[in-house]
Amino acid sequence: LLYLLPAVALLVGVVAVPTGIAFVHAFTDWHPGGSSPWIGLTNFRTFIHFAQTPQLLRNTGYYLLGLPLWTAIPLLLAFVLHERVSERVASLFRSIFLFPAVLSPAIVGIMFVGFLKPDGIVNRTLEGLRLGFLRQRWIDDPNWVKPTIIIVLAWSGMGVGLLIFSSALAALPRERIEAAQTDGASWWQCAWHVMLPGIAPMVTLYACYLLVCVFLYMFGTVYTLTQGGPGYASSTMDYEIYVNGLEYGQFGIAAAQSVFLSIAAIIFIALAFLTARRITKRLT
Amino acid sequence: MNTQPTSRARLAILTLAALPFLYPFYFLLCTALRPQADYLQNPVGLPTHLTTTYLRTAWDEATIFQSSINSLIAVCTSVVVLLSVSALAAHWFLLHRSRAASILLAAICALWVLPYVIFVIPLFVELHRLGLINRLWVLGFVYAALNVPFAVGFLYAYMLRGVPPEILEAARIDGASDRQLFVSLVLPLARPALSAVAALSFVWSWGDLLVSLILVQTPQDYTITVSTATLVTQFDNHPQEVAAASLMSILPVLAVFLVAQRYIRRGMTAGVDR
Repeated sequence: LLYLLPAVALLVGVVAVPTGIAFVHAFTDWHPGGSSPWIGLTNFRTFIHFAQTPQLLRNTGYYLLGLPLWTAIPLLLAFVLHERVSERVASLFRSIFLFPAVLSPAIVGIMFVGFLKPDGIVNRTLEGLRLGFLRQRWIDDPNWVKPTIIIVLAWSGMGVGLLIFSSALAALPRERIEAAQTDGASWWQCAWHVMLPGIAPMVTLYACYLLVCVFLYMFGTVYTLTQGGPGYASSTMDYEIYVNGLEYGQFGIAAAQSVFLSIAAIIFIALAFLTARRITKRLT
Repeated sequence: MNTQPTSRARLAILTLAALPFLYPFYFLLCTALRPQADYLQNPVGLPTHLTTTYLRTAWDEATIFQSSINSLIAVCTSVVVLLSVSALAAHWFLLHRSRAASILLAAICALWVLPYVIFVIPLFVELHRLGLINRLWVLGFVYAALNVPFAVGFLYAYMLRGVPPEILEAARIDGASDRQLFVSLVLPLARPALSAVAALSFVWSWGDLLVSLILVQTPQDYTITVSTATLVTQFDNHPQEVAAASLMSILPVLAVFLVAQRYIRRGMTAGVDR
């Protein structure tokens, strides 16, 4: 048991206890260091009546639309790189696609702010290609900012997805694929009917992981790329928690929002896992 | 492996797909290294002259050197702490497979999905009370704790596949203690997974913004991500300084990752090629 102790102690000290503190203080008018009178559900009522709260929830719903895209692109590439090209080429391209994955959301955000400005590289490149009519105010236009963030995340998340899917493909038993090929299945038939079901558990698991990210880890991207703007057009709950807690000093409200976010996230994630398990069972 | 020769068409498609991934780095590099006149005239093409002005400005303004050292201190502390703590824990789970143990393991892994924003504020309050704010080693311990759920789960999964139970049993019958098992059997066998965890947690902690933004607030102790982000807000209209700073802050992770990606892949496909 001695082996387990350090890990558990670290987790309890850094994660569990502070979370508990936050949850308790969600029901108080929290002033760290001062008195924090018990005010019941007032914090919850306050933030539910914030004008931006429905917008935040809609934003999260919108970002969820990115899930199929974020899953499908790396999946497709993993298939193409799997034994369709020579191993040397495949590993070279895998490394290239992995580049963005080493960048933190914060650095990706910082880089893309420069790229996506009205006079940034994206618009200039479009002009250079005589596609000037496509130029947009990518992150300053409330209608474009969410699709833009979805694409940026597709860019930065692709390497990890590819890595996971390639490993899963490499782990498939070769006999079944070869059997299908001897039966005269074309490569795409083989991919669709044999390889895809084979790695379905990994695919659904990855989709669940993305779901978690959409709910809980948009902060880095939102903070550096748009600061939630324009207005609240790209903001999410986890970013608002940061703003309320650390910029406005509304600790009680931030804590209440944390409770709300955790409960919502747990419900959604549990649902997703159940669905995922059912899909996986049906396929295998 | 029976691989087909690569057809030109496929190569072309792949190259096209790879362009959006290479281009930003190329652009960053060019922007950081070209003189301003060159940038204003033609920001997209190849630079005509090279200059190190912006690298130097960013180096001084964002205190790249000092912040890199700070990041290194915090991140290395966290990797060392993380590896020792979670290897021990994973080993314990490998030896104890009761119902209670698996519930505990699930609980630890479930903490992975707890968002930082929820506990980082009370954590700040508590650490502040204890006078542990602005200490890089504390930041390192916090990073380590944040990665424990992932590391324990990953190492345990690897050990399950990578350490055959027969060998474990045999060694036990020969009278090896738990400690001997750990040091001379499990640890060496789990080396690929340990390197993968080390590399991944290095990259994640290096890139963290939220936690270090909150727990370290004295400028001379800023980590590299924080000072780059700060520089960006100061130099809003100086794309070249920003490019230079971004470039320098990603070089260390790129290096780590290029070296480590072999191990990461090996750690993930463990037990497959046997």
